[in-house]
Amino acid sequence: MAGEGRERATDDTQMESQLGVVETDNPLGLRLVGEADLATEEQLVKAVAAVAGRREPNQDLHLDLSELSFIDCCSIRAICQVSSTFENGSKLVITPSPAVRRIVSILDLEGEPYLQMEGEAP
Amino acid sequence: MTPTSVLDQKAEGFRHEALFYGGSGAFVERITPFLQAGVDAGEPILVVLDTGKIELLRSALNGRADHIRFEDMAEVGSNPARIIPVWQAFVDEHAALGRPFRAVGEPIWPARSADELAECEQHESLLNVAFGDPPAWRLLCPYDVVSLPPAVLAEARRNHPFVDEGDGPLSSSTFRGLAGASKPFEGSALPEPPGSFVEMSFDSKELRAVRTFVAGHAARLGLGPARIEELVLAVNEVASNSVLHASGEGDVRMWRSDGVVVSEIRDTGRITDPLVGRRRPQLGQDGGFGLWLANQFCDLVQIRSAETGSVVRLHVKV
Repeated sequence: MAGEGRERATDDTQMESQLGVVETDNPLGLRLVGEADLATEEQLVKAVAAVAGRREPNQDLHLDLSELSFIDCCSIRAICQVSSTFENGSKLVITPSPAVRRIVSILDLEGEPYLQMEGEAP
Repeated sequence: MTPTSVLDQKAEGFRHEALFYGGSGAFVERITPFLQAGVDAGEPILVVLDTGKIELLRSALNGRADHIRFEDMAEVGSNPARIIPVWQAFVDEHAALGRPFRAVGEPIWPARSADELAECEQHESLLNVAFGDPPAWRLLCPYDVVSLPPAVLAEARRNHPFVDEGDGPLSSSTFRGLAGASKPFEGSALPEPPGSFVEMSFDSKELRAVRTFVAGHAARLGLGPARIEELVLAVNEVASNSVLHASGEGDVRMWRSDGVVVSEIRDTGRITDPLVGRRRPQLGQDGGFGLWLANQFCDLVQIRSAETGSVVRLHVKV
């Protein structure tokens, strides 16, 4: 287990592409940087599945999406669907960017029980 | 027994009825009894009209309007493809209660542009497809014969199984039926852009370039930052459909016409679901997101589809 707050890239080559994916240990989750769309869907699905596989029972998964300048429907869907592997009460804790907030709102996901949006503007 | 009550007894499913009236006085006179009958029967009622007509009805109903839910058609239906989801939510809310309910909606008014009018007429036609089955409910669509041209009224007769032209609701002899309504995208081709336009081709690896292209030209054509972000997302989703469901590539064109920025996505795929973009998608389902999202963010969405391919035009007012 890595030390507190340490981050590591899951794949160095991907850092140069339009979507940067960094696995975080404390809290357990991912930090996404750049643009998530159809071209990065497979990369995102794999990264989310990998980090979800490291969860302890009942542990939340934290996704820092505050540096995601673009996200499409298939990507938010890929993120949300990992919650189907969660036990009752575990949450997907998302720190959104304006782009993330927009798509969560238009798809009416705010009320989803597994979703917790952090740092929402009042 | 009046024709209305005969038809009431026959109504087992959705009853879609046009009501022709002449001017605002006649509007109040003709609509008020329909609403009062619903209030008296304890039916849930949803009325979607412009705010001026809502006020007229409120004062005519004199306190009994408290039982009626009113919504502003200018908000709900500026893009007519957003109206069916509102009726659907109303139906879902009341279907389980097992008693009838009724509604009034006027999607067509004289100030509608030619493009809007065509999509409004398609919306009226698609209502018959969307709500073909029980539960039993009535939707009254008022048409102002004083201010609307005869061609619009003729189309209303084709899009409504029942029309009340002043002698009570009667079967429309020119109603086009469900078969005619279920292929809405095979109509006449859209006209070419009236002036100059910009264009780019894309494939599955170039969605990011499409977004840059759309954002840049939308700004140049006069859209503000918030609308640009929404348009970029809408175009991205429709172009993603081209990548996923068509040949994997397509073309984007953009131009400005009459204060509207138009973004067109063209591909070789075929769009066949008549209600695409009019049903709220669930996260677990495949597809159905792109055109839904486009309808929420854009002022008008035009879809045409044939053997040779599909065209989707997204309109955003400047």
